Amino acid sequence: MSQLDIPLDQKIKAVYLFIVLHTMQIGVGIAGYPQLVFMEAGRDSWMSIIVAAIVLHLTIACIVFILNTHKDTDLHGILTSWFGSFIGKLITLVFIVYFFIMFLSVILNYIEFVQVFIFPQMSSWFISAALLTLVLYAVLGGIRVAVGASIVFFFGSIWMLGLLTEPIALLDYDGYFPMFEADMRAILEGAKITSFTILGFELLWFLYPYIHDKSKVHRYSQLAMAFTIAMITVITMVSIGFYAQGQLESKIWPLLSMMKIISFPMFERFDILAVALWMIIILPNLILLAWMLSISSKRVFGWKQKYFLYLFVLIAFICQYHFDNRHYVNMFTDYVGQAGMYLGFLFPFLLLPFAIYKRVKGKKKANAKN
Amino acid sequence: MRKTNCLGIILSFFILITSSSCIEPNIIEELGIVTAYGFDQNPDTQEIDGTVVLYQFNPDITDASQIIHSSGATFDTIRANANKQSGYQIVNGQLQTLIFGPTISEEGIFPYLDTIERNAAVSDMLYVAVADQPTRDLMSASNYEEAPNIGIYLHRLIETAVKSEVIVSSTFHEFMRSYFRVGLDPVVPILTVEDNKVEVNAIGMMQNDVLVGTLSMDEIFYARLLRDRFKEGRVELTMNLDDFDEYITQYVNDPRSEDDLHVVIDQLGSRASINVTDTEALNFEVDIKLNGRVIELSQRINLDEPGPLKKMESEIERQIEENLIEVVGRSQELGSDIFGFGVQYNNATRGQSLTTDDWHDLFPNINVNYNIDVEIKRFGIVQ
Repeated sequence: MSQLDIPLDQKIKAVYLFIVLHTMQIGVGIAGYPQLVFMEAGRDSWMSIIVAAIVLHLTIACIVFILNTHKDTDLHGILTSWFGSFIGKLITLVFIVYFFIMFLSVILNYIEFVQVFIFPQMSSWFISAALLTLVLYAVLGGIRVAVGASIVFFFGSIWMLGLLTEPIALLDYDGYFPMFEADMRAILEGAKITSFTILGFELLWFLYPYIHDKSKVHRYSQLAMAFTIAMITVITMVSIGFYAQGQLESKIWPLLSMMKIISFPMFERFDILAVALWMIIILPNLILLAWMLSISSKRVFGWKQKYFLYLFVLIAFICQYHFDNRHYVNMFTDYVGQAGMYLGFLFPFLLLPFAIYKRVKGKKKANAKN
Repeated sequence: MRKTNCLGIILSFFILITSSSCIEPNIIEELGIVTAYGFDQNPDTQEIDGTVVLYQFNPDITDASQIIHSSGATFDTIRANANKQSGYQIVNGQLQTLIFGPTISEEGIFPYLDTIERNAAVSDMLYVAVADQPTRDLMSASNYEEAPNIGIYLHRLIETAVKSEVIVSSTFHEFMRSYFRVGLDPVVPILTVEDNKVEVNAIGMMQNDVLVGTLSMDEIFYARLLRDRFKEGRVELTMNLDDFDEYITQYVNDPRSEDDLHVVIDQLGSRASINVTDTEALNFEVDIKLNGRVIELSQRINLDEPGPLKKMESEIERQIEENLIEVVGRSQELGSDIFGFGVQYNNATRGQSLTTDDWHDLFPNINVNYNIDVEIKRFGIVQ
């Protein structure tokens, strides 16, 4: 049970981790993030990002260290071999619930974008049905299709970052001063908010056995984190310079609002297109989450992966129908953030002593044999 | 594997086809697209009188524009009430200009801007302007060149003035940014009707969102000099002819006035920085670097020699300083910091949170020193 035997034709190269982990982290959260971090740390938000970045890189190093202790197994396998099958299943189940709430919050947030920006009357079940069909289609194709889809969608959306040149041309550099006004507490609060946004790297726990060249896992996961951090730094700094304080504090989605000023001769209002294109930013999130949900459930309960996929998609469809207003969206997003603090950042460090113990013991055994 | 893929594709098509009717259609021929709004406070009732300029995209009608007057307590009610008088569905998506009449601009325009910010359908790049007469009269001016309607004409009018660096840009986004920035007050163009045609004839200085004074077209240059950067600006200065007596190669009789020398500089580039020298005594220092070319002189002066050129440059510096002192002095009297002295003051005093009201109390007491450096790079194709 603990070792996964995955055929070579289902494995992916480590270099894809760069894109997969990055697309997992960037999703609906980034549109509202500049305002949230600004509310806490103000003009010194970049310091919060630095603090969060250091913690993030350490966390990734820790996760990879633990995963490298065992070859070819995921979080479930590690937990089962260390603490027995019951605790292994229990913790994996916690992760499944957490990823499912994340899955739901992505859908709810995106539905809200569409209804606020483009079609106020578009029914939410329609948007979620469209999204979930695509998710179903991609995940049924297996891990390679899921990863391939996120790579295609990554290149389909990353160019939008270049559109920020237009707000950059309108920056007001006075907005960045005076610096260093935020106190330590505010910066740490900002770092906490930042950590909510960069969640999603936990997928590495479950993707690891599917990677072909394991020696490069660490390098590419760290690169992905660095790229995400660079991206949110740019977006945050542009938002702070583009808006005055009171303005930024009142925008729910500063990034989408900034797109409002972009206009082409043949396309008057770019933000409409941006919201539509946001779908291809969130689809990789949904696809990878759904893949993880179904594969982990299979590991825990032992049915076919397909059945779990249908089940989760169905539950998600029913849930989004019932939680369809701003209040619930906020509530779900907060839950995911709170849970992510513990499951994403704290949990790897809790496992770290066990991994060190196993390694030391493993070495002793190897020495004894010699 | 193949079977499930087929299933997925069929399912997606099925959902797409059956659900494409879920969204409300907006057929462009059935829409009345608002290009401009004008607002006036009705003196008799508590309501606002709105003037709505509509535009229709319909190849069959020749006169594609119309103006509707309606009233209501809120912006959106005005739109809804206007719809009572029109067979088209009135939408705000293409709104380009917002004009406030004197009755509103003297009380504060901010309360009317909320829906613009809240409604995602409205662009942030529309222009906010103030009229010096009721907008109802302003927008019924019948001469609007070849523009399809007065709303589009107003937008072009303001945009041309902004692009040629005559006035300070005041898009909705910029207006809100100045409004929210502590230590900086917004400016708006002021529109008036002359010979049945709307023109920009001044800019309004706001205190927060209240119009407190105006700057004439000549004075705008100095406001813009401190607030923004010139890339290809233009300024006309009037100097005392006696100062240049020795340099004048050939005196011509000028009917405009006998002892004035008119100089026009264009292709003007500028860079200004405001520095705080003493936060206690509120002393400021303004460094301005200007360069440009002389394009018109009312008397022939040989600028190819260093003597007259230096003299000309120092006279321009003196003139600009004098005018700046006057313009800044007037804005201090009115309590409207459109230059951004307060932003620099706020940056210099870290740790103490300045509010807009604090700054409006301090602003009249500031002292400003000017260091102006003018360089005339070229002077046309004559000496």
